[in-house]
Order: sequence, then structure tokens, then C-alpha cells
Amino acid sequence: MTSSKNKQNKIQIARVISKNLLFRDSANELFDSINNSEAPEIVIDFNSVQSITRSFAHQYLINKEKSKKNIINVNIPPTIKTMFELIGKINQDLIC
Amino acid sequence: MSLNENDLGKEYLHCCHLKTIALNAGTLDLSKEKWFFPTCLLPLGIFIKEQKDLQVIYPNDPKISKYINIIMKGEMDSTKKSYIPLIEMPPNEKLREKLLEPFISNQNAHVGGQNAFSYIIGELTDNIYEHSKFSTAYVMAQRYKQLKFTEVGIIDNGISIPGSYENKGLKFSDIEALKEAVQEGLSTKSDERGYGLRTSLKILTQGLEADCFIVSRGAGLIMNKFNTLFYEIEKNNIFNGTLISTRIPYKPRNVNIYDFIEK
Repeated sequence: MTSSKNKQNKIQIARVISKNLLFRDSANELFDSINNSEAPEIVIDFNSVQSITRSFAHQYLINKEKSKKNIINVNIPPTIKTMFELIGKINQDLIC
Repeated sequence: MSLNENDLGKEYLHCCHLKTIALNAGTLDLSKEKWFFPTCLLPLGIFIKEQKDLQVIYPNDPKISKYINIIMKGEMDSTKKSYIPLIEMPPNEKLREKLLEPFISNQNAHVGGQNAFSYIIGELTDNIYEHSKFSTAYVMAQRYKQLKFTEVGIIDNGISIPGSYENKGLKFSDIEALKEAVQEGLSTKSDERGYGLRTSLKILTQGLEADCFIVSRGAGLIMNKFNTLFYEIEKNNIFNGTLISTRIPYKPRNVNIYDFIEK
């Protein structure tokens, strides 16, 4: 991820992590990188993501909620969206 | 039913038998071993790693020997022709998902599709990273076309499920600890956690009609669609860590994980 104060940064999550989003730590590492960048707005592109665990989705939403950056999710495949919606419904404070 | 009456339990006990002989003789003689299933090979791998002075006599069959090579020398052959679906998980390394990508792609069609297989492997492996404090961990999935099943094993030599609860001040016997993890989904970290193992077992036993076996320190479990049986493991057969293995009937199909995930 390149860093810029003015530009919106885009992260291809399948390339940065994997097509299969599995581990809580990977969600933490992703947001460490996002929160350390200078860009105020980050677009996370879920294109090519094939699967996600509940653990990754939960940790992702916790980090997204805590982050001061404006995080925009795009191209979320339907099966991945279902997991985010499920976690979001259970934890009302986590808004996808 | 005793552990020895279940195919997975029998494989684990065979491994324990080999270990006991090796500890007495100072040599692990595998020359007569005709085949290894993950349930036997993985705890044997941990044993070989931990017993550094142990002499190992390789299996006579070179096809079987290559599995021992991976464990002893860390040799990975990822060429498609001779792909061996055994991965050592690094304790502290980024890109763990990338390491599992070919493993998941190679196996998923036979174990419920991409979503189900990667969910199970992901959640069970994540548990290892989150809770076990391991130094050695393996993931293996082997398809047996003639026997018409895939056997998957996930193992770590960490603090075990009972040890993980103990570290959080929760006092359970080893069997009680395994029951908590499997039936109640009690997490040592927070309420939203603790679903991984329980949901994975549900997908496996109800969705894929698989047999499952767990040994974690002094507690064992055999689980399928119809039964959930807990066992106290005999002292000689205790495993200091956690082994989860499963035999999934060979029926190409897609399982919708959302039918089994608790809402």
C-alpha cells in the first residue's frame, strides 16, 4: 500500500492477504498498515476473494470500527457479504 | 465403543505404540510401515521433531519415506505432479494464508467446496495461532480414492485446550475442558469467540457426514452425525498439544457453511 496525505489508497485484499481470508492476526496486520498510512480514506477491494472465516470477519469489523480512517469496502462477493452481515447483526456496534 | 474400535482412534493409538517402542529402544523403526494416515503421521512428526537424538529408520517404501522427509528436513515439493498435501505452519510469519492457498485449492472439491474447506482449515488453524503457543504445527489433507474418503489432520504441540483454559484461570479436568470447547464454545478471550471449533465440527459431522477425532492432552473425542463420545486418554497416550483429524466421505458436493454457522 502506498501512502499519501491527499490521495485515496486502494488495497486489493486478495493480493495483500489471500483469496481466502482466514486469520484474526491477518486482519490485525492489515489494519496496522492502514492506520500507519497517511491517507485519510482507504478503499478495500474484495475482488477475487473466495472465502472468509468468521474469525477474520469479526476481527476485520472490530478494526474497521476502531480505525480513524474512512474505510470503504468495494466488490464484496455475495458469500463474503453474508458473513459480514451475520457478524454485524450479532454485534450491533459493528457496522459493515 | 473404545478408541481402538474407531478408525481414527486406532490410527492415533498406532502412533502412540510406535512412540512407546521408540522411546524404549532409542530408535523409531518405520521400515515396516506400509502407509501413514494423517492421524498417525502428524503426531509422529511432532515426536520426531521433539526427540532430536532419536534415530529414525525410514519406511522401505520411498513413497512413504517422502512424508517423513518433509517432517525431518522441511522439504516441500510443491510441483503439481508430486504435490504432497502436508504443510508445516510457521509460528511467526506473515502470509500464512498464501501458504495455505494451494493446499485449499487442491482439496476443496472433495470436501464440501471452497467455502466449507477453507472455513474449516481457517478456523482450526486460527485457533492454533490464537491459543496454543506452539512451536510446531502441521496441516495435512490426503485423498484416498480407493478408500473413498479424504483424511484431514491439524496438529500443534502447544499448551492444549485444557492448558489454554488453565492459563485463563479456568479450572476444568481435561475432559471438562474439551467438552466446554466443543459443546459450549467457551472462549478464553471473548463472547464472540469460541465458535470456530464448534462450527467446524458441525459442518464436518452434519454437513459432510465425517467422522472426527480430537485428542488434547488427556482428553479425547470421537464425533460423528450420531454420536459424541469423550474419552479419558491413558497416561502413555496423552498428547501434549492438540490433534484434530477427520475422515470425510468421498462425495463431491458443495456445503453451504451458513446452514451451520450460529446466528
